[in-house]
Formats: sequence, C-alpha cells, structure tokens
Amino acid sequence: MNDINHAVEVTRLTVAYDSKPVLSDVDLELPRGMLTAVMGPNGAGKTTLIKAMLGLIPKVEGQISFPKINGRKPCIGYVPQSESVDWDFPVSVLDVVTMGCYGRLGWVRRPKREDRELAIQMLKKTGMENFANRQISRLSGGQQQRAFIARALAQKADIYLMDEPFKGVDKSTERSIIEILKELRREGKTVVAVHHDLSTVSDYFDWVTLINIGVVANGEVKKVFTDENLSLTYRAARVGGIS
Amino acid sequence: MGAETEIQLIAALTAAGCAIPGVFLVLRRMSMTSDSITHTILLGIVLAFFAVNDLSSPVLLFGAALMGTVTVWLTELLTKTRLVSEDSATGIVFPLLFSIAVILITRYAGSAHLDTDSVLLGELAFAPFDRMIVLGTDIGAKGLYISGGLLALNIIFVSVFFKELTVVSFDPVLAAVMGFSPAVIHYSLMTAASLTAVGAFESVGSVLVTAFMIAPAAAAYLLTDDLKQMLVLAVLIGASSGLLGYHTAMLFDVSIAGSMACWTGIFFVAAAGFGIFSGKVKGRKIKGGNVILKK
Repeated sequence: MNDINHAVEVTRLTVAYDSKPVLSDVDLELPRGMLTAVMGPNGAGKTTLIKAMLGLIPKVEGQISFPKINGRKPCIGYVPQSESVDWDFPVSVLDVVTMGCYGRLGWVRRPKREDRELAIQMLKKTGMENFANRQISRLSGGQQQRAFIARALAQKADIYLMDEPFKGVDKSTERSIIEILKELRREGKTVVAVHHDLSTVSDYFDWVTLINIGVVANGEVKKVFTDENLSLTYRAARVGGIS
Repeated sequence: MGAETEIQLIAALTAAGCAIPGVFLVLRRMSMTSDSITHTILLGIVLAFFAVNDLSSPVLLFGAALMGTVTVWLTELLTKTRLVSEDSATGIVFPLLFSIAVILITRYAGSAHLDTDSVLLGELAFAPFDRMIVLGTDIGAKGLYISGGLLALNIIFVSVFFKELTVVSFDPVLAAVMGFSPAVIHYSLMTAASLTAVGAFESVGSVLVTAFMIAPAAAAYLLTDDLKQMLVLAVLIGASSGLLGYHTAMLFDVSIAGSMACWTGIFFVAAAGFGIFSGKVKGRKIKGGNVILKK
C-alpha cells in the first residue's frame, strides 16, 4: 500500500507501566478513510495503543506518526471511555458538545455563536437536540455516548480515535452510532475504534487490528478476521494470564 | 469610611474572593488541598520575611504563593512514588512545612509582629488600623485593597481561562489532546488559590480560609447544574457570610472570623436541605466530602 494512504503509522512501539510491557514492539499501519476495529482480550493494550497515539502516555521506544493530508497535519478527534470524565460536573450536554470546538479556538478565545450552532447541529445529527440543556449525569448510558459522539463530530477531525464507542449503549444507539461512523467514512474520514463484540465486526468495520501486547494480525476484515487469528489473539491472553 | 464599614467590606470581599478558586477546588475534588495550602503558605511568608525583613513587602505574597504551589507539587511527587496514598501524602507534606514555619516564627521572629495566634486566627477587627497611604494621603484600610485586588484577580483569572478550566476539570484527557496542558492550568489554579489564601489569611487566619474556599462552593454546587451560576452563587454566599458573620460577631461579642465561617456552614446546611427536598441531589455524589446521597 502506498504511504500516502495511511492514516496512522506506528513503528516499533513499546509502552510499559512499571517496567511491565503493555505494548511490545508494535508495528502498525492503519488505512485512511476506513473504519478500523482494534480488538484483543482484556489487558492486551487496546486503550494503551489509543492513548499512545494521542500522545497521552510516555513511550519506551518507537514512533507514531500521522502522515499529512493534502499537505497539512491531520486533526485528531477523540471519544473517551465513559469512565474517564467527571459526570457530576455542572455542565450541560450543549456545553460538552461545544467543547469539541475548543481545540480550534486555542487558548483564551471563547466559543462564539457559530460554535454553539455547530454543536446544536451535531446534537441533531445524534438525535440529542432535546437534551441540550440537561446536566450530563441525567442521561442514560446510550444518551451519554451520543453526546460524546456529537462532541467528536464538533471537533471536525480527520481521524477519530474512539475507546469502546459501543460500551454500555442500547441497540438503537449502537445502530445510530454506526450510521454516523459510516457517514464519516463517506466523507473520507478515518475511524479507529476499540471494539469488543466479535459478532458485529464484519458488519461494522472494514479493517481489523488484532493485538495482544504485540500485533497478531492487521488487515482487511475479510482477510484477517479468521478463526485462526482470533484463537491466536485470545489464546495468548490465557497463557499471558497464567505467567 | 468608618471602621465598621471597612471591616464589613473586607470580610465580604475576602470571602467572595476565596469562593472563586474554591469552586474549582471542589469540582476537582481537591478541597483538602486548600487546607494544606493555607497552612504551608506561612512557611513562604516566614522565609520571605527573613529575606527582606519587612512585613509589608509584596515579596511575602510571592513567597507564599510559591510555597503553596510547591506544597501541591511535593504532595503529587510523594503520591507518584506510590509509597503512600494521596491523602496520606497531603497529611505528611503540609504539617511538615507548617511546623517548620511555626518553629521558625517562635525561634527567630518573636519580636516582630508575626505571632502564631494572629497567623492561625487572623484579626479582622484590627484591619482598619493598617492604613494605605499614598503620597501622604490616607486612602482607606490596606485590607480593602488586598481583598478587593484578590477578588479582581480571581474574577479575571476565571473569566479569561473559563474554557480551559472547564475542559481540564471535566475531561483532562480531551484537554490534553486539544493542547490545553492540564498541568499548566492546574498549577495556575494552585497559584491563584495560594495568593488568595495569603490575602485572606491576614484577615481571617489560616485555619478558617478553608471554610471560605470550600463551603460556599459546595453549597452552590447543590443549588445549580450550571458552572457559571455556581460561581456567582458561591461568591454571593461567601459575601453574605462575611456580612452576616460581622453582625453576628458584634451582636454576641465573639470572633468575627469564627462567625463568618459559621455562616458558610449554615448556608451549606440550607443548600443541602434545599437540594434533598427539591430532589436535585438524589443519586448524586457531593464533592469535597464523603457524603453520598443515593436514590
């Protein structure tokens, strides 16, 4: 594959917590304009991989790069795992979605009317416009996730990194999220999502990365999402768990 | 302006100024950090006093603010070693620094106007005696300018960095991804809180500053779901506690600072009552303490 078509390039990445490697010698190229699922057992380093891509955790070794798109640095959007935010914080759904614009605004500049309007537009897209003024803890799990997807959309990113976007959501929210992800793909955006549900991979994603400390397989779903690769990924977990 | 009016104004301005950084301390679950800072800034004041030998020097303010930030940094450093938990780290760092300050005061500064009683409890009633003299003209009590200046500083800090403070407190990961360094905001907030504590501590003493930082903010948190409203309410509750505290103290001939702190407690209890009966706090965790109300 030509270099220009990569959204993310990871070379020889090693990340460790307390000298115990969480990711070891990971080489990875993820395609641009596709939906990629990052899969692996618990403790395989999925969240760590996303965080390392975002530059949030120190690397022991290795490089992560996002090749330029049309000569400019790509903008990275992020959907956190729902545990990582403070749900009791006094902010409304609209406030949260408007935060998506903060990165473009930079330091000190305040969100303006057009930023609020964009946020409302994104709330409509996720079917959340009726909840704009709710405090965020007063939402169901699915509604909270929709609000975070709306915030990610407001970031207008080129590449979206999502940590388990389908975790704890109801079926109808899951369907509407996947519709939004597919729309992002039509717009040429890249989505990399940590995913758990083996049964939906073929329906939802184009590309799959199977990891367990190291990369087990990385490629198109129809080529690498095989029983053999899956048992390699998940069996290694049990061995790792014992040692 | 009469001495009584001056005392009331200083009380209201001090409490209002404390409430602003207090809102973010409460939201960031760092209430006890304010207790820690308000004690250790004393060491900063003492060390700065030894350096310049002048109690009214602004260097003291910087020494105090620096020491407040150093306290937070040392506590985080100790927590990161994973030898002790965060609350233990706080419990180790601040009494250590505070005790050094107390020893230094009793040993070397006994003759200066820097005694432990006034440091621990402050003395608002004497505030009108300390005048601000510009070009030979008396332009009011110094405490008015200090408390007013710190309130203004806090208002400016929070209005300029409102967006950054919000996103860093609510979702630090997103803030970091967007390039708003959580550490920069964190330490700026700690510096603002330390500066405010120094100003407040002259009037109300180091022990009660915590009451003015935390109680109005915690009460406001129970009354609203909106951060801006929470800031305004906390400032109003703080200022009202200052005024009511002054009159209560006059009525019963007791400590002004103590009465003010009592009023912040009364406001908190009232807010908690309102929150429970209006159903707003159901199932919500109250930050800054360990009270958990469940459905």
